[in-house]
Order: sequence, then structure tokens, then C-alpha cells
Amino acid sequence: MKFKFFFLISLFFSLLAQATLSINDSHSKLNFFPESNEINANSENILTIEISMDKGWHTYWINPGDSGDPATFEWELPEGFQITGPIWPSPDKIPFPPLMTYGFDDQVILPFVLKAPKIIPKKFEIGLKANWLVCKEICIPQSGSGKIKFPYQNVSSLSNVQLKEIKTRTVQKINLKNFKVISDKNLETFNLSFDFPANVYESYFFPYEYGFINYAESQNLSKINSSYNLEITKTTDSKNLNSLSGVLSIKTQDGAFNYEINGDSKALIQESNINEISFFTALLFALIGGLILNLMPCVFPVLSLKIFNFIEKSDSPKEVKAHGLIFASGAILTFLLICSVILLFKYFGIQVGWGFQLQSPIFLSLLIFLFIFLSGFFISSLNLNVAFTGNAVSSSSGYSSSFFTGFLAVIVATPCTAPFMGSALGLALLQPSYQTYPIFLSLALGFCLPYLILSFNPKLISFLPKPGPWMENLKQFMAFPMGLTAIWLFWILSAQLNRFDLSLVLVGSLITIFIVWLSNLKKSELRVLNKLKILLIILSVISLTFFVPISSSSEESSKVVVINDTNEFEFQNPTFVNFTADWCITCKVNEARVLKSSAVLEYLDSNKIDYIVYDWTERNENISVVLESYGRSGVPLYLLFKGGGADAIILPEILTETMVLNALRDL
Amino acid sequence: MKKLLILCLLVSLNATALNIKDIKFINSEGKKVELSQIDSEIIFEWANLECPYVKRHYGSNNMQTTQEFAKSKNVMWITVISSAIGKQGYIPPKDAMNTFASFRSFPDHVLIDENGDLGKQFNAKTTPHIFIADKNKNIVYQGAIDDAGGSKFWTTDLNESTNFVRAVINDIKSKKPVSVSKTRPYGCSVKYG
Repeated sequence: MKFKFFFLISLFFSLLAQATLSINDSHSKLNFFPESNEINANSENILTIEISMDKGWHTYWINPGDSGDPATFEWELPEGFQITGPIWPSPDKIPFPPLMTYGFDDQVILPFVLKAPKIIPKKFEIGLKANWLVCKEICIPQSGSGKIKFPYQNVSSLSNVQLKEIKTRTVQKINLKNFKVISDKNLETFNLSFDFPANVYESYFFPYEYGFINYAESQNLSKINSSYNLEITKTTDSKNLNSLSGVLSIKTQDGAFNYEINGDSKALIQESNINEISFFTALLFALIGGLILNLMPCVFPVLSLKIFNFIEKSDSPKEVKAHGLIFASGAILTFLLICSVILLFKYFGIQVGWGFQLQSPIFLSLLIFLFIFLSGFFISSLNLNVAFTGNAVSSSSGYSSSFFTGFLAVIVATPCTAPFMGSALGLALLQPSYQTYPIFLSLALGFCLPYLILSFNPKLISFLPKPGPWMENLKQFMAFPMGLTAIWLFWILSAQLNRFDLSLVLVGSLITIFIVWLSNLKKSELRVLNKLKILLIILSVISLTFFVPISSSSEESSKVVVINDTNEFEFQNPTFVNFTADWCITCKVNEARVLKSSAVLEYLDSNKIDYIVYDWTERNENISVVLESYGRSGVPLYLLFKGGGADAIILPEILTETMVLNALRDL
Repeated sequence: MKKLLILCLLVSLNATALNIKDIKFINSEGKKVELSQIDSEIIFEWANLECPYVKRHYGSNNMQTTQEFAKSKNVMWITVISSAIGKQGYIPPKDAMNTFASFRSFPDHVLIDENGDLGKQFNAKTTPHIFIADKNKNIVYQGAIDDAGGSKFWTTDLNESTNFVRAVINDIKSKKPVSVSKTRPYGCSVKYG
């Protein structure tokens, strides 16, 4: 009974809330929300204005970009009152190639701060005159005015959706670690550099003022070691960056973050003259970095094989020389290939840095398989050269295997960044391509230098220990640094994938070990068995592709909610509810295959359907009650709410993408 | 050749030192115009008669009086419409002169730049957007027509705003260096295709 009564009262209030100050114009509507119904003397109050536009229309930010104008508000206040604002939220990019504008699609929520004086009248009025421009393809000015009487009779508070919108767009004081403005008079760009604890997939700087940046040019985000670098194109006659001000927006898996740069960047500016001085330093650093790279745990084992090779052939200096050269050319070509790939990415506007590979779960998984495979081979008695090139020719020839070792050495080197190398490559990637190549070349040379020196000075080889059984033992020991690297890569991968996909990678690793075991089997007398073995190896390698996760699927960013009161289990907005638990395989399969598919996520997002997860991994009485009320004793349970308190539609336990999309469309 | 052609040998755009003497185009009346053959200073006005900003400038007569002032000082006035066919503001070339005349605007030339070639060469962003070239065909001013842009635009009396175009013409005619050579253009985006 009590519940019903409360419901009636809230209905009464929500009806009254319709009377909130609203201004309608041809293509949009302005709504006014006070923080509370009363304004106390000597207080600060938030007044909020929401402009909601017809679908597809937008309005502009304080700096509209290449065209347009921001909304303006004129207030009529009783004596002693002061109003500041709007506090502009972080905008979106609204491109009209070749132009770029900044604004808000469909709706914008603008908070103001109203300061009340020490003495205020009992009743008073606030007048508002607003002008705003809405554009789709064309622009139409909108305007209107109204009066708001306080005390306010009809409180209507902001909805959760509106609050969420405010939260994701709120601009905070910049407090980023190592935030710097890096400028170079000679470059057409400047950089905002900052550290960020989470993985940033997109970042953009919105300047407050005209004349600092070229709006239409894309801003390129790159990652160098632990810091991010946003490259921004200046205008042809750029203002002094000392007074740069604007909003730096950072997007991560966990949401958006917006920071205000307040126009006093003097202390933050770092003049760099990368072009003039540091190119040669970069070359030198790259050379040293390449040298040090040899000692990294991921590379050293592979290279030790090469040295063994030299030792075994120490009686034939000519051959050693040839092998050294071919190995070096393999390594150098691979480095240049990687360099070209990076430049190609850069050309297409995809910003990558060294280590970009480690952001791709596909590449990471393949690397893990490779390292486990290598680890297996080191510990087994197989000859690596034979294994890779498939020809069991005596070690006296096999130039192709030397070339391949060079290639392999560079591939296994990719996860390792040696000291010096990072900064050199960081510089290299900021340079025009004619400077990037030399730096990579220098890195490659540094990498090969020890072998080139060895192979050209056969006398040096005689200083190395004589061949013997120690070589086999050392080789086997090398399996451990390789395994360690695989574990490290797996650890990185774990930040990008959910448990389900991670376990797939583990299964893949096991198959890799199976392949090693198969290849390691003694040759059988029966030819059929040998053929079967080869067939099995091929099949296993093919099956590996099923265990490579296609895209990153880190643990969901959706709301995980604890149910406190089961009576309130209804939703005002369209909502998809997922009851799940970590140990429920069906749930995880559904999530991986359907609920986290881009089609479903996009549909939920674009149609503003809330996605709520109730996690039952640890038993929760309240969730159990809800499950029971839908006739279930366990998870999964998928419910679809139309919103407005309507009953749920129950979806089957095993989902398909089409089924879910159809159900969502029927809402 | 009904279609308008910009016979270009356009210099690549460098906003601070843009020289336009190599630009040639065919105006809305089918006449070939070579800027190198023109002796006077030139004002380029990017227009779109359906854009509310342009409408307000024409409605308040501000654009027309600015144009009259320019012509009284022997400065050529070229109006460019870079709206693509089918987009807001596009006018077929044959109607162009009459349409502007109905607004009591009489530019020396109208260029219907439906492919946006000239607009992109100049980097014209908004309607209105003004470019002024001196006698040597160097761009000495680019930006807004006046300082009425931004929040106050809809409430300002445009005839009382500070008119940058008049100021530039006065500077040029009194052989002074142009004091304000670049401002933020304001208005609707140019409706490129």
C-alpha cells in the first residue's frame, strides 16, 4: 500500500514537471532544470539548460571550429544575484570535409552557477533570453525567452541519462602526469605529451580560441614508451603557444576524460629542435640500442644459435663471412620492412609507435605461440635450422636458413625495447620518412654489428670456446628465457582480453607444444606413420588460427550493479539486462560471441539502450530472488525492458546475434 | 562548354603569401576572367543566399553598402558561390546575376564554383568569408566582413559593427600597410560537395 501511495505522489510530481520552463523553436527545444526548488540566501546553485534538437541536428561549442556559433544566454536577475556559465562540456568533432566544426549532436546540457546574495526576497523571478544555432546540412538560428519563478513549485530533476551525459563530458583541471606542450618553431605541428594510466584509443585537443590550430587536420595520437603524444597541426600563422587554452579529450575503454588547458602553458612548453641537433644523436642512439638489443632475453637465445653456427664453421672463414652477410641482410631487410609498415600506417592516419604490435591481441597471441614454439625447440634435440627451413642439408650450406635466422631474430626482438632504442625510435617516428629510414637502418646495423665483426675477423672466433657438448646444454637452457618472454607477453595480453579469450590463447599454446612434440618424434619405419605425423602437424598449425582472438575484449565497461531492493526491478529507459557469472560457460560464450559483438554494442549505443550486468559469480540473495521471480534458479538470464516500467521480454539461454538484434529492434 | 571551368595554374595555398594572379575562371555569364589582366584590387566574397548569416548581412543592407563602398574606391568585387549542385545556396549560373540584383547587389563578377575548386584553393570556410587582394594580386586580408561574429551576432546592428573590409580598403588606398590582415571568419560552413 505504502509503495502505491508513493508511486502516486511521484506521478503527481512528474506531471507537474511538464511545466518546467521550456522554449520550443522550429528544430529544437530548450529545457530548464534548477538544482532544487528553492534557492537559499548566500548560496551557489547549479542551473542547467538542456537543448535537445531534432535527430541529426547539432549545435556548437564555445569555439565552433571552422563555422557556426555557440549558443548565448542573457539572464535577467534580481538585484545581488550573479550567474556564471555556461560551463562548457567537452564537445564532439562534427566534420564537414574539408571543414571541421566542434559541437554537440542531438542534445547538449549546459550548467550555470547562480550565486545568491546574503539577503534575498521570498519570491523572485529569473528571466532568460537564449539564442542558439542548430545545423544539419543547413543552419537555422533558434531563440526564445522565458521566466522562471522561485521558489520553484515543480521540481523535475535531471534523468540518469542526462547525468551520465554530464559526467562523460565534464571538463576537469588538467592533472595529467608529465603533461607538456612540445613545440618546434620549424615544424608545422606541435605536440601535447602526457602520461595516462589506461590504454588511450583516441585523443583530441579542442582549442578555446581561434588561431592556434588547423581544425580540419587530423590530430595523431602515438605512444612512446609510457607516454602519449598528440600531434596537432598549427595554423599557418599560429599564435604563441604560451596562451594555448582548450580541452584535451582522452578516450579509453573505461570512458572519456576531459582536461582543461587554461591558457597559461608557459611553464609547460618545451621548445625542441629535434630537426637540427638530434638527428645524429638519434642515429647514434639507434646504433647503441641495436647493439644492446642483442642482449635482451627474447633475442639472445636465437642469436646464440648463430654464434654456435660460426663456431662450428670456424675452419672455413669464407663461409662464415658469407653467412654473416646473409644473416645481416635478413635482419636489416626485416627492420626496413617494419619501418615501411609503420610509415604506411602513419600515411593512412593510423598512429603507431614502436611496440604498436603489442596493442594487437592477434600479433601478441602469434608471438606467444612463436615463443612457446621456440622454447620447445630449444629444449628438444631438434635442429632449429632444419625445423624452419625444412631442409636437413648439412650445416655447411643453408644460406636461406641464415637469412631466415636474421628475420626471426628481428621478429623475436619486436617485443623488446632496449635502452636508448626507445628514445631514438620515438624521435624517428616524429620525423619525416626520409629521416625515419636512416634511424631504423642504424638500429639494424647496431643489431648486426657483432656478427658482422665476428664474421669478418675469423681470428676473433678462435677466442670463443671450442665446440662441445656445452653448446647443446646452453641451447637447452635458452628455452627458459624464451618461456619467460612468453609469460610476459601473456601478462600484457591479459590486460586486453577477457578470461574466455585468454584461455583460448592458452589452448593454442598447448597445441603449439603438441606441434613441437610431434616434430620431435623419431622417424618411424612406416612411411604411413610419417605421413600421418606431417598431416597432424599441418592440421595443428591450421587449428591454431582458431585460438587467435580477433579483437580485444577486455572486461566489460558496462555497469555491474548490485541489486539492493528487488521491489524496484523495473526500468524507465529501454534496458537490456544480463545476469551472468564468471563460471557460467554459456554466459561467457554468449557474451563473447553475441553481446560483445560490435553489431550489438553499436545498436545498444546508438539507440540509447542501457546495458546492465548483474554478476552472480558470488552468490547474491537479491539476484537469486529476481532470478526466481522469472522462474530461473541460475544464470544465464537475459531480460529486455521496453522502459517506462513495462514487463520484461525473456530471451532464450543461448543467444545468436540475429536473435538479439531482432529482439532489440522490436522494442 | 556550359560547365564552368577554372582553368587553373593555381598556386598552392599559403595563407600568408597567397598570390592569385595566375587564377583564371569563367564567370556566371560565360565570360573568361583572368585576374592577371585586372588592374585594381579585388574583393572576394563567399556567399550562400540561404545561409542565415548571409541573409542577415544582405537583409540589413550591410553587404550591399560595403560593396558600394568598395566600388566607389575602384575595388573590384567578385562574389563566389561554392555550394555544390543540390546543396544549400547553389544557383544555376544563368540566374546568378539576376538573383543578386534582386538583393540590390551588383558584383562585377559572380563565380558559380560548384566543384569547390576555387573555394578550396582559397581555403574558404564560411559564408560570408572575405578575401582581399592588392594590386599585385597578393592576399592582404582574409576573414570576416566585420567584428559582429560570435555570441552577439543575432542582436547586433550590423551597420554599426566595425567593418574590416572598409578598414582594409582605406589602408590600401592611403598606402598604409593593412592593420588587420586576418580575422576569424564566421557564418555557415561552405556547402562543398
